[in-house]
Amino acid sequence: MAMVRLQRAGKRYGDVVALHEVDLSVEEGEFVTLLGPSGSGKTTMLNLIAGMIAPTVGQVFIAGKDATNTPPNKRGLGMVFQNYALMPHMTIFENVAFPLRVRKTPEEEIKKKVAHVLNLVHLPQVANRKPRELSGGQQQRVALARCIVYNPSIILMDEPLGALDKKLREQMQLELKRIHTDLKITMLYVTHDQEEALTMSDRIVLLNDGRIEQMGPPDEMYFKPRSVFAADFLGSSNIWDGTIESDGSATIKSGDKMKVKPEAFAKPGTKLKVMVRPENINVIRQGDDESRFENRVNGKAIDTLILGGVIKHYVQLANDTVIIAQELTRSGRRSLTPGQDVRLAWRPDDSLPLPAVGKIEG
Amino acid sequence: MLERRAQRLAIMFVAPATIFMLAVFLIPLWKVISQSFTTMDGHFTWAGYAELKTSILFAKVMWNTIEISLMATVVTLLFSYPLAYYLAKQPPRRRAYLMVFVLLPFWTSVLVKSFAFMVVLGENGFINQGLRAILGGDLPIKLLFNRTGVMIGMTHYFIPFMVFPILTSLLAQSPDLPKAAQLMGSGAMRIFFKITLPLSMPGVMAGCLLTFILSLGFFITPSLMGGRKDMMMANLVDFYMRETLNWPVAAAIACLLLLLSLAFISLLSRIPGGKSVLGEAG
Amino acid sequence: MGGGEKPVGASVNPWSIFSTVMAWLILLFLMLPSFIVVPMSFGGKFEMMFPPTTFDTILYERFFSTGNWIATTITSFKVAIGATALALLLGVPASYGIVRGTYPGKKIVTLFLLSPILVPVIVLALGMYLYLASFKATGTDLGLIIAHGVLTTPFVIVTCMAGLRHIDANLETAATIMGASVMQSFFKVTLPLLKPAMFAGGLFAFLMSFDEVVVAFFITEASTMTLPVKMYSSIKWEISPILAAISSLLTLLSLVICLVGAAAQKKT
Repeated sequence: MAMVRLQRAGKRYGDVVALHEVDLSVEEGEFVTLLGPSGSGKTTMLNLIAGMIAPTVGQVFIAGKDATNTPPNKRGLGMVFQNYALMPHMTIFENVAFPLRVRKTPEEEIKKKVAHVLNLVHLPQVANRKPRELSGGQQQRVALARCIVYNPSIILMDEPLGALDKKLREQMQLELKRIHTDLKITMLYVTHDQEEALTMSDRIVLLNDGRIEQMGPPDEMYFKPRSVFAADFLGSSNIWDGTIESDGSATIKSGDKMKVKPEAFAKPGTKLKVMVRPENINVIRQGDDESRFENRVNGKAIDTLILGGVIKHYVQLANDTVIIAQELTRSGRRSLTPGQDVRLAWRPDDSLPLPAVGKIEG
Repeated sequence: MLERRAQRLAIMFVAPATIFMLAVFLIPLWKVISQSFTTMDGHFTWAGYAELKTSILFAKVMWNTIEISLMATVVTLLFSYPLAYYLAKQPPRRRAYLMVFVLLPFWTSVLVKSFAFMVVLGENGFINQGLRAILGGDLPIKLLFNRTGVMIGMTHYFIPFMVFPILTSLLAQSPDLPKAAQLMGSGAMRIFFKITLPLSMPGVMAGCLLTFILSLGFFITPSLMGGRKDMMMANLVDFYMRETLNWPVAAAIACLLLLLSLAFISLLSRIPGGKSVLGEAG
Repeated sequence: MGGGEKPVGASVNPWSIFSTVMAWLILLFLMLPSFIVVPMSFGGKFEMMFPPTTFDTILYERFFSTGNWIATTITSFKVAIGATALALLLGVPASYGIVRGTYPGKKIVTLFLLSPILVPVIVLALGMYLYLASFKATGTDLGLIIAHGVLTTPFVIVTCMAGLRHIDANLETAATIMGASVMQSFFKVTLPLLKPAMFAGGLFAFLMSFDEVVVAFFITEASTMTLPVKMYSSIKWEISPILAAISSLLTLLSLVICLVGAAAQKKT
């Protein structure tokens, strides 16, 4: 059953459209991420589901029931905030017990349930402390426990890890994922961080300008973006203007001709964009066998950046076209000297034609 | 609609106070306005305003009020700015302690202040005794029941009102600005006049307007520390109300005072620093 | 600004010397009344001099044994407690509606609720007198409590608005999503967190009402006179040494309220 379903739901404020009519459903036990830049409509969508605002058109269903005009406290949802929103005047125990007290749960049961969920998030020892005595990561785990304890039909998470530093964030991502898998909770996660979306989600909903740009599982979103926006927002990409030739290959701005993955819309003569992920572009060094790669170009090195585990090479083609190639860092692998001639190569399947405007329908 | 529901709830929270204010603040104000057009036996009259138009006493008092308010504002500003500037430069802890010296007078009854000043400034008071001891001679300097007395009392009253907004605008300035200017070779004077002072103008404006508005309606200090010539509009309202029992005239003066204050209040609500004084309405 | 450290090699700033000297003179001037009334209150009975030459507590004894003064003090306490309760009851919910709510005309309503702070007190005093006279209610404690409620409610609103701005609105949202009604979230989440601001606002409202002269002067009668009204006529007509004792007690009250209130406001 769909735990949350938006049916042609949209929101406008006067003349400003915050969210165009969208359809979305989140199935039981699913981990869905709303991804998009700020102003893309993710917060509006979250507020529609949480009941902070009502849609201008369309309907909101929660656990199968029409909840379009149900006030937030009657929706049976859970929510985790970026700043945790733990009640500073209550102990951790009281914080977690709060939703149960509101529901008039018997005291015995409250004690049992609170202890149980604090165990689940590995914090059984903090019950009598105040939130400010806990670290950010601990507070966020308490916030999650506070949701789990009353078994809401879905837990909404509004950039929950945004306030944590990088290390802790990665640790918490795994923790969240574990809890999700163990308890089979339905989660709707909002973030603008594409890496986080790719790591955690069963399904990503990419929003752009108040519309759903594309949705699907992370690998599909990454390997088969249907628009320039999607290709650009998820992962980094080389994107060039190009034209399709009669043999199905594409010529890009630099004059280089390359084989591309066949796509139905890419008929001869079509102006389009060609996208290649930097990690799929290989730098050909002496002795390398380049025959595996049908696409080859020559250019001059501009710069090389070492980013820890990976290296990025910036290479200049003709007509100011720049191409980025990414390799894994290996000791002994030499940086390119600026001005040096470079040969780059990749497979046709890795060069994806994309429509110059709009997206591939389907 | 959910938003409607939220609106209704918010209105429910504001409603009791609003109804209270309508009933016991707005209606009384309306009573003053209607009284200014009503004779003692209940008929419509212009007489209250007509009398003010020709009254020499009223013209004098009106002029007094504006003059005293302006003077009080200027003198208060001259004293408050250096104090605010000094407080702004103190480390936060020390500033918090020093603020007690500003807050205590702010919260001290105006009667206590007036009483204390009357004892100190009197002909045999501490100040005159001191002056006599230093300068010799026997004629006391008149510091009370005249304009000087009113000014001392009012300035003392208003300094905290002026210090708070100026201090706020000084504290809002980035400490890097004067440092940057100093690195670029500006002298202390130049930094003060080109950076600190202009940036604190919103606070100065708000403090001045607030002081001016509050002094327009001042009653206690002129009544206790001023002389006959220092009567202000509020004292004149009292005079017509209690001594000559001429209610329409008293009410007419109150209406004019109200109008004058409202004009400056609307000005205050329009300037940037005024928002903080008016509690950031909206 | 802030931070008192001097840059290395900076010449002594003439402005800072000037402002330091000025500042201390002004602080001295501000504290002058408090510095005077306290020693004076321990001076002799007939002495109206500063500095006093003898030490005596007779003025306090006189104050506490004079029925007239005590009666007015009790009236002032009654009125101030009533006005404070009224201001908190009206002002706290109003500040919540102002800070958290959105509705048409909010700006105007807010400005209206705060306007008694800036309207000349004499106008309000006259208006209250005319208004209460139309019910024959001048000279009642209730009339004065209501009038002081008008003066103190805006103050409680401003204090609580500042307090509410320091409380994360997400806490209320979180409570609502967890199933609490708006009322539950107001009483279980907002009010406990707003306690320090309410406490400070209440103290200041109490002091404002307790010290208020002008409105009380207009609408009370001999039998319901408050302490400040009696002080006012005493200063005006027959300046009495007991005033020094009363002034000292009032200064003490102000000091306590100002310190406790400021500390409470910091806690928010």
